[in-house]
Amino acid sequence: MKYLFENFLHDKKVYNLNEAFYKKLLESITHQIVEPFFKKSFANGQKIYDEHIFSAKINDRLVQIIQKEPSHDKPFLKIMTKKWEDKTDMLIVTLELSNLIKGELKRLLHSWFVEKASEDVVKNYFAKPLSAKNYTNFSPSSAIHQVAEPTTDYETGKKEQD
Amino acid sequence: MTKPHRGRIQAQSDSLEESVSWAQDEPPTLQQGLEMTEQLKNKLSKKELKKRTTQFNELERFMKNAKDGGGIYSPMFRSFQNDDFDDGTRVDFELWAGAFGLSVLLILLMTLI
Repeated sequence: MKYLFENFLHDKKVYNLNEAFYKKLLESITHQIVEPFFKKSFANGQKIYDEHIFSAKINDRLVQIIQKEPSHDKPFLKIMTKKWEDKTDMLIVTLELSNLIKGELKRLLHSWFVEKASEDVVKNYFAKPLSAKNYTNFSPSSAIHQVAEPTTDYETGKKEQD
Repeated sequence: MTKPHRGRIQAQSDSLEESVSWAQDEPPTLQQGLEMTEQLKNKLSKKELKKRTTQFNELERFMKNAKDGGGIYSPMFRSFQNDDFDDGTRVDFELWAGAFGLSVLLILLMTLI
């Protein structure tokens, strides 16, 4: 398993590339221009570089992606739902971004934004098999749901030399 | 009439949903935010509070950082989760409208405008 953008909390350049990865991913899924929904800076203009790395509001639905530094030795992705301001359906995805999670994340976001799956369907389908503690049922489907690879090395932020 | 500064802090899990919300004419100050955090803590059982000790600390740190950064504007969301539990144990900060923790100078400017 290879973690992607592993150093994102310690390197602003990697962080910015990581954000761009989510933007590009969501745009490829929804075929819309996607901009962050939640503010990413303090009132003084200072950008916030933390785990709440990307959010979007698309088709009257919200997603907040919370990316954690790798700490599990197995793929980690969990989801929660809530109502933003008691009216807008919101999906909270907490993950450690790896090559194994990438395909599942794309499938999840497609289900949420394009298929408009209900909260229960999404939670039941994705929550249990992907949790770190009962990962044994998880079958990586990244080969099927492949996301376009960025042309930048995730760990260093440098262009790959192949 | 809808107040311009609205939000909520919430303690959640699959079996718990407690919150303290605000809707007011001025942005909540850091002090008010910390007081609301205490109000939320007081709504929880000792057991539920203990499960969120770190998460409440993270929330308070976020509020203080926001103050140090001159405040924050809506929409803003932070979820502080306890990954030791599989039931979504967490504390959420939700700034739906307006601002939070702005400097006094900015609040004065907003009032004048």
